[in-house]
Amino acid sequence: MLGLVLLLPVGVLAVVLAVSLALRPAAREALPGADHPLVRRAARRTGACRWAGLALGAVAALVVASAGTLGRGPLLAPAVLGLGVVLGVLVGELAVRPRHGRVRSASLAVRRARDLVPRPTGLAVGVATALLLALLVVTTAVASPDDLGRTGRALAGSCTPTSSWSRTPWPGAFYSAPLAAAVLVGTGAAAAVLRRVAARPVVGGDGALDAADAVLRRRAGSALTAAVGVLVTAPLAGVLAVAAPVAAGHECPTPAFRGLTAALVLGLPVAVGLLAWCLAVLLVPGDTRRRVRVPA
Amino acid sequence: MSDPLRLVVADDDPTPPYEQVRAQLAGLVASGLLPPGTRLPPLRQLAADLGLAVGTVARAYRELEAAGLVASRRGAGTRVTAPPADALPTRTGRRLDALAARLVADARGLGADDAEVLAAVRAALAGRPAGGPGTTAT
Repeated sequence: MLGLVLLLPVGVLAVVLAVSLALRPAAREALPGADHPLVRRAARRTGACRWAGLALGAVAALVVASAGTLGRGPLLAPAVLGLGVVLGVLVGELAVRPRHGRVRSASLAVRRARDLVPRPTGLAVGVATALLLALLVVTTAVASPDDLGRTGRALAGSCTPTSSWSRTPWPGAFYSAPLAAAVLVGTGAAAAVLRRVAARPVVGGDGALDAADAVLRRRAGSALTAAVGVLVTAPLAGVLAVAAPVAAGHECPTPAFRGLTAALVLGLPVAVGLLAWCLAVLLVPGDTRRRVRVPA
Repeated sequence: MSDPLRLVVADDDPTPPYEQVRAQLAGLVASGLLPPGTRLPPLRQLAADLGLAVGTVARAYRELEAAGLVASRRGAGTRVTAPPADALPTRTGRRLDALAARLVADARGLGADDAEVLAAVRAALAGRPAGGPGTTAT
C-alpha cells in the first residue's frame, strides 16, 4: 500500500511532464522578428541565463538535499532550485541592453508586473501557495515533540488513559518553520524580479520590436511563475506524501481528523500534477494565450 | 489594437530632455489624446526606455503636476487630470493640438530640431513645396 502511495505520484509526475513537454513547444506563442539581430541576441541571453540559473539551482538543490538533517534538506531543495531560476531570470534581464541612439522613443503604454504572469498557471500557483501555508498551519497546530524532544516533529496522542502513541516524521514546526520561510523568501524574490522584468528597457528602443519585447517579457514572467510553482508544489507534494500515511495511522481519529487524512491523500496527485505542469512551464516558458500568426 | 502613443527624445535638440518630455505630454493631454484618468508610465519605465535619468523624467512629471495636467498618488501612479473648464480647448483647437503633437513626434523621429520643424510648418502655410532647401533635415 505504501509502495503504491509512493509510486502513484512518480507515475503522475512522469505522465504529466511528458505530455506537457510534448505539447508546449507547439502551443507556445511565437517570437515575432526572431531573425532581427537585437531580438535574437536578447532571446539568446535571457534564455542562456535562465538555463544557467536552472542548472545552478539544480546543483545547489542537490547539495542542500544531501546536507539537511531528518528530511529537512529534501524539503528545502525545491526552494533552492526555484531561487536559482529567479537569479537566472534576473541576470538575463539585466543583460538586455537597450540600443540608445541619437533619437530615442518610448511607448506610453504602462507595463505592469502582474500582466506578465500567465493566468492559469499563476492562479494555480497562488491557490497552491495558500493551500500549502494553510496545511502547514494545521499540521503545526496538531504536532507534538518526538521521542528526543524535538518540537513539532511527531503526531502523537492517547486513546486511553493508560496508552499513548507517536509517529514520525510529521510536518510540524520542525519542518514547517524553515519551509514557510523558504517559500516566503522565494516568492518575494520572484515578485521583485518580476517588477524588474516589467521596468527594464525595451529591446530596440524605436517601437519596431515592441511585439518581440513583450513576448520575451512574458517568457520571463512565466519562468518566474513556474519557479514559484516548483518551490511551492514540490514541498506541498512532499508534505502530503509524508503526512498522509502518518495521519492514516492515527489510532483513534475524530471525524474531522478522518476528513483531514482524506484531504491529504486526495491532494497528493493534484499537487504532483501541478508540480509536473510547473516543471514543463519552467523548461519551455512562454505564454500560450495569444499566438502571433506570422504570415508565410 | 491601435498603436500606443510614443514620446521621442532627440540628443541634438537644444531643448533640455525634461522639457522635450514635458512638452510632448502636455500637448497630448491638451489635445485629448491622453484623456483624464489615463495612467502615465512609471518613472523608471519611461526613463529606461528613453535612456534618461529617472530624475529627468521625474522633473517633467513634477512640472506637469504643477501645471495641473497630471496628479501623482502613492500606489496609483501618475494619472492625467481633467483640465480646468476655462482651459478647455475648442474642438478645432483639440484637433490642431493633436496634429501638432503628432508632427513634432514624427519630426523628432527624423532628427529635425525645433527650427527645422517651424520652418517646415511656415513653408506649408505659405504654400511652398515641402522638403525645400533649408526646410527639413531629411
